[in-house]
Parts: sequence; C-alpha cells; structure tokens
Amino acid sequence: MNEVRITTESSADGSESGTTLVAPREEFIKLFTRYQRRVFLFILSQVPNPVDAEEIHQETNVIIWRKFDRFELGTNFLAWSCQIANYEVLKYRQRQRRDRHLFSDEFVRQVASDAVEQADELEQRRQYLAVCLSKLKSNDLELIQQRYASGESGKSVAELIGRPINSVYQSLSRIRRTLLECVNRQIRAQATP
Amino acid sequence: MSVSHIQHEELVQLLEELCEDRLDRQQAARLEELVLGDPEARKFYLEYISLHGTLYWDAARGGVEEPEAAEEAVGVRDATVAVPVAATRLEHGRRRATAIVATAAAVLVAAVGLAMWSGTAPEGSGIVRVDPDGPAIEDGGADSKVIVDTAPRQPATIVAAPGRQSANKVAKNSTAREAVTEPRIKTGTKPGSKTSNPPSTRTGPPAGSLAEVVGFVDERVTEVWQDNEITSSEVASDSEWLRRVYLDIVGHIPPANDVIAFLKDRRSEKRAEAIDRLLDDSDYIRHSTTVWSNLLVGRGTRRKVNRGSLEKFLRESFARNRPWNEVVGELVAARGRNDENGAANFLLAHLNNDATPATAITARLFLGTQVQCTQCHNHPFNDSRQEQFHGLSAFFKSTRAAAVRGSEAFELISGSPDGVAYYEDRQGVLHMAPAGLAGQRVDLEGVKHPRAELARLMTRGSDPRLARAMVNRTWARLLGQGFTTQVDDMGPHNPPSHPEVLDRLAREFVASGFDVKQLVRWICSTRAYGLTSRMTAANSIDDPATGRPPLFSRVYAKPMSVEQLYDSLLVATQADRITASDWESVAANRRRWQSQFVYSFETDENDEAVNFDGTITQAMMMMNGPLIREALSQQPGSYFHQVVHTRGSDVDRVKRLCLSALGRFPSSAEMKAIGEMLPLRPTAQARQTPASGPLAEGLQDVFWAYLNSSEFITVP
Repeated sequence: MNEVRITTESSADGSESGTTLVAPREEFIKLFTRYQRRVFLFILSQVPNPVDAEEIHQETNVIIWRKFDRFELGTNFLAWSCQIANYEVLKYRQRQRRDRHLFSDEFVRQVASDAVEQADELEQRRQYLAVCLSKLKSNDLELIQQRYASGESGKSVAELIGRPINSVYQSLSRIRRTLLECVNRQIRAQATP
Repeated sequence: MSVSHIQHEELVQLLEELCEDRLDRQQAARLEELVLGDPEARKFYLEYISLHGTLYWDAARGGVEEPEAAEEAVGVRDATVAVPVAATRLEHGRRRATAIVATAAAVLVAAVGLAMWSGTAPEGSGIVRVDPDGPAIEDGGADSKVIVDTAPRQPATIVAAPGRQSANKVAKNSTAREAVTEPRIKTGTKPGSKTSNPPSTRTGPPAGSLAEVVGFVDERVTEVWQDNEITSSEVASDSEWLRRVYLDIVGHIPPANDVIAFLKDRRSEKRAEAIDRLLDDSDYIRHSTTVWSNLLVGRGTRRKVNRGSLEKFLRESFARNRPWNEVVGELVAARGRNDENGAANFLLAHLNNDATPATAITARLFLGTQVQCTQCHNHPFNDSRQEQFHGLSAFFKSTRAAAVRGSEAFELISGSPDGVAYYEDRQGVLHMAPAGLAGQRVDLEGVKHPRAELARLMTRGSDPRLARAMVNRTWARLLGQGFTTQVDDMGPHNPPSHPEVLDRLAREFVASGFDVKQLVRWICSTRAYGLTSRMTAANSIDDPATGRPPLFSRVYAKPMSVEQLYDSLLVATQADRITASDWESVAANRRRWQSQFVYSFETDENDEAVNFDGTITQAMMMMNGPLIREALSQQPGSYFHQVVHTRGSDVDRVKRLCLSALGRFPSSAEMKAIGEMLPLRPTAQARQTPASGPLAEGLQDVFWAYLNSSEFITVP
C-alpha cells in the first residue's frame, strides 16, 4: 500500500532498501514522540470528550510500546498507530455499552476513515494554528489559554474570572471561529502564491 | 460549498456545544445527521475537532511548550518548505480518491453507505428493495403457535411453507399484519410462562430433524418477542438474505449470476436449497478453515506455528465434516511434529514459559469459559475458583515445545506429569491443585499422556460445555450476537439470553454426533436468521449495542472479516483472473494482502474482538490498493472489462456493476445520481460499441464507489 503512505519522513535507516527492518529503539522513540499529538487528535475525532480521549490514548500507547518490535521502519508509523488507536476506541466503546453512546458506530467509522484521509491536511492546519494564536488579541489569547489550561472548562473559567457563563461560552465560540477562519486564510494564501 | 449557510451555522453551534461538553443526545443525533449527510460537513467537523483538540493538547500555546520541543521545532521551522512537498507526494498517491470525491460518486457512496445503517430509515430512503418474489421463508405467521406445549408435534417448517401466497401477502402488507396479529398473540400467551422443563424424552418426530429443531427454536424466539412486546423486523429481501448466507457459509459475496438466478427463482424452497448447496460448496471448507485457524492460532505469524499444516488438518476435518468433539479432542491431545500433525500447532502457538496461555485458550475456545482471571485470584462473580484453573492447567504442565534438529519444525512433547499444579494465592500461601475438570478430580498417577485424558473428559458428550460453546459461537457468527455478550464467557455470572434455545441446540448437537454442518443448517433455517437486519420502530429496543440482551427480532449486521473482504473483492471484480490463475498464487496473494491488516487485529489473547474491523485500514486499502486498481483497469478478464464490452445499454452496464458489488440492482436514487453524472448514450449506440473515454471512466467511478461503500463491507 505504497500509495497511502501519508507521511513522508525518510528514516535514517535506508527505508528504501528493506522494509523488513525492525525498528531500532531510538528511531521508534522519535516517531512515537512525533506522532503523539496526531494520534490523540485521531482519537478525539471519534470520542469527542478530551478526557476520555486521553484515557484511550494512554491505552493506545501501552499497546504501541508492547508491539514496538512489530513495527517496520519505513512503513507508515501514523497509520500503524491509528490502527491500534482505532482498536482501542472500539474496545472503549464496547466497555461503554451500557450507557448509550453519544455517537453511532457508523458515525465513528466514517469519521475515523476521514480522519486518516485528512491527516496531513489537518497537520498542516495545526502548524498554521500556531501562527494564528500569536495574532490573537491579548485578551482573547488569555481567555482561550485559561480555558484550555489543564483540567479547565468553559464553566470553571467563568467562575474563575467572575463572568456570566453564557458570555464566556460566547467569547470562546467567537475565538475558536476566529482561529478557524484565520487558519483557512493561511491555507488559501499558501495555495495561491 | 454544498452546506447551506443556515446548516453551516447550525453545525458550528452544535460543534461549540460539543467542545464545551454540553451536547445532549438529541443534538448529537442532529450533528451526526449533518455530518454524515455531507462530505463538506465531515471535513468541517474534523477541522473543528482538530482545532479544539490541538488547543487542548497544547493548552492553547501553539506547541511551544512541548516536552519534545527539540524534535518538534524542526518540523515547525521547516513547515513552509516541508508542507508543499508532502502535499505533492500525497497528491500523487491519492489521485484516484481525490478525483472521485470530487465527483458526484461521493454522494453515491454516502447514499449507499448510510442507508444500511440508519436503522429506522423509512423504505426508499436509499436502497430500493429488489425483490421480485416475496420472502420465501415464512412459517405461516403466528397463528399456528399460541400454545406452549411440550407434546411432540409438527410445527410449521421453513421448507413446507403454507404457500407463497401468504408470504407475498405478508411482504406487501406487513404493517397490517402486525397490527392485527399482535394483540391476538398476546391473548394466547401467558407472559413468563416459558416451559422451564423442556421435554427430555421425545417420541414424535426424530430428534434432530430439521423441521422439529427449527420449529422449537422459532417458537421460543417468537415468545421472547411477545414477552418484550415487540414485533420483529420483516423477512429479509432475497438480495439481502443471499448475500448474508453466502458470506456466512462460504465466506464471500454471491457472484452476479447467482444473484440473478436466485431472484428469478420463484419456488418457496429456494432458500433451504441454497443453504444445502453452499454447505456442499468447497468454499465452505475453505471459509471454515480460515475462521478456525484464526481462532486457534491468530492471524499473525508465530515462530512455532506451521500454519499450512494446521490448515490442512482443518481442511480435512471440515471436508469430511468430522464430529466436532473428535476434532477438538485431536487438537487438545495432539503430540508430535507440527509439520506432520497439523493439530499440534494449536498448542504450540500458546505454550510459552508455562501452561497458562494454553489452559486459558483451551477453556475459552472449547468450553466457553474464561479462566485467565482466576489464575491469580478467585473471581468474585464466578464460581470457577483458582483451584479449578490450576486443576485444568495440571493437564498441560508436562507439555512442552521442542525444536526438531535439522529442520524448521517444532515438536509438541508430553512428558510424564506431576498430576498436580502448585500455585500461590494472594496471601502468598502455596496451594496444591490436583488435575481436574469441572470439579471432577482425575488421578494422573501413572498416566503417560495426561492431555489425552483431558480430551476424553472434555469431549465425551456428558459434559455439555463443549457443545454449548460451539452452539453459542456458531449462533453468534451467523446472527451477529451470541446468547451471551461475550461469546466465550458462558459462566454462571453471565446467563444466556435464550437458555432453552441454547440448551436444546446443544443437546441436538450432541445427539447429531457433533455434526457441524447440521448445526449451521439449523441456525440458518430459523426464522430469526431469515429476517432483515434493518430495525423498525416496532423493535428499536432490540439493540444489543445498548447493553440489552439480544432478542433476535432482526439479524445484527456485522462487518466483513479481512478474509471475507478480500475474497468478496475478487468475486465482485474477478481481479484474480488478471493477476493470478492458479489457486496457490491466489492464496499467496490473499495472505500478502491481509498481512497488512494483522497489526490492528491481533490481540494478546487472540480474542473475538478481531471481528471489529470495518474501519480505516479497510477503507485505506480499498481506496488505494493495487487490488482495486487492477480491478478497475480495463484489462481483459476483469469483470469491469466484461461490463464495458457487454452488448447492452449503458444502464445495463451500471446495473451489472451494482449487482456484482452489492448483490442488488441500483436504487432509483442512485440511478438518478449516476444518470446526471455520466454521459449515458442512447441504447442503440450503446449496444453497438463498448464504453470508452469519459463514460468508461465514469463507470469506473461508479464501480469504485460501490466497492468502497459501507454496504459492501457489511454482512447484512
């Protein structure tokens, strides 16, 4: 499946010659670290509560490490990890059976397959997001950072800064939209030099 | 952008609710609807969630405080350079996918895919029923079964249906039927009055006769519907049923010609005949071998396992339809070289430093008992105690694997046993567990081959667990759900949903001499198996995904296995005719292809969850793999080539593609979408010349869309 090799990292160890190479530990760690976020985002698209997604991500990491010696350098690490993540999501959903899921199996399936399709594009967007964050007004940046500081939510931020909760939600919504628009602009600008 | 402005606004609102964890169930349903309904909305959903997730991950700091900052910084600095390069490469690889997503074929994919899954969707929302004939399996309605009796009698059978007339009537007018018959049934049954003492000595029809066993099962299953006040889904259309029974019995979809022949056949016994024919097909042997070799040793490669040899053993067993207890007995008691005795590979795959994995998988696969947790502590909800686990493992203690010198083979050796296993409980106290099974102790003193003793105990028929485990597993494989949530965890803590059906089938299975084919025949002939997998408003509570026990008022759709998917692709496209000609290379190609999936499916205990797979990996392989590319190329020999060169109208060409991929004719909605997309020619011209140019490419897109639909990868 050469065609779906989404990422393009060319590993140091002659990935063009042999795919039978088992990953040396160092190289594996590099890949592992590099793709942490992307695997997390992949999971989050299917299980949209970040806390649950993190839990699944942890479990995924355990499996990734356990299967470390099965990974072949030169093959697509992200796709490999996403397969494992995908399986962990299913396991999680199976465990959660008794409460009803927020989303249907079909939805999750579809989103997962789209997420892999769009992986590179989303990664590109992430890089522009860093640029866009730096362009935010300082008030807005502060608010959004407060919101996403570990363990916080819109609700707790409202309590913290003593603003009505709905107005905080509105501000957060506006900021997220602004960021999204900004990323879109960057993408467009990049596409038409 | 195809999302209207209003919808887009609504979508953003819902996503905002989602980000703040405020989305309620109704909103979630609406969000799903919007997202699944439109590829643009799907893209937007992912962009939004990624934004949210990235902010969360980096605490809105743009990635500067990453612990792996050093690693990450390179990527960010080079971003402007690196991204275009990545994009170009990507472009190349995904050209096909992108081209198609751009066309209306994407809409088609959505239409085809979604209709399958939206359980309560009204008829005609995506799939048009192609059903020239009424349902052929129909047991004459509920009228005949009001009394719960224990006297032997001849219930309505699936074969000798009271005639097609009633079947047709039912199909046309099912709502009326439900309205009329439901109350009538209710008055006739006393809820909860299920016979708790099924007849143990029968004098009437021969025990195990198809009609009698199936009649019993149908009766009990129907009763449960009544007790739960639901009405079952309708009988499956011929297309749906045929696809299901092919995939379940021979492991691939029906070829287009078989579909046509089946749809044309108007006789009421055609379904029963199809079951018999498929059970006699050589692909039944192949499919059963695949299923069981995956269960026994997993899909991955293991050093000590000679898969070919194991498969040969299984192939011969299924080809001769050997009694299941015999087969299991050989697997459990196997000794010798794994290249000479295929059965030895099972335990070789599960022996490491001690007997634990071998004990656990033997109990799980053949006895339907999960004992691995009791290895270290007494299970709180389960009466299998530590002692029992170790008692079972005592049989395996003396078994070990040894490499055979001068060859690649391994040998399974049984030494002389201690007959006793020692273990520590959690307080560190050492205990002794004598060999035993199900509370019965066995003296292994002087026994040369303890596993043979175990095999004898397990398979002698007086211990019902072997039969019950096989019945439950087979039922689950065919209907999409077993009688217990976990098919191989049948302990007292996990009571079955239909105890009488399970008991009866298990007893009949033993009485039939552990006849595996007969078991499949019984289950495939039940009324439940003949139903559609679509949910209706009248049985929406029958959804095991919500944690309720299954009621079998419909069949639960399941994703294809990797092997089913591959074999089905070959049937649909006849790609094997252009890539390989002999059976050996087809098999080798399949293994190579499926080895790409193995990572995600292999689990430590090699458990049943491998069935969950209709997912990204499949999607990726399908969309871009060489198999699909070859199948869509116009090389002579492929199905696509035949269709292009057929002497029919262009509409016929589309129909043939759909028939081959999905076993049905295109729905009117699909036909309309296709008509708008493709430059279909006047019939006279189309009959003269093969399709070419943009038309041929359009037909490729159509075929591609059908093959990549979720309907394709689903066992309905």
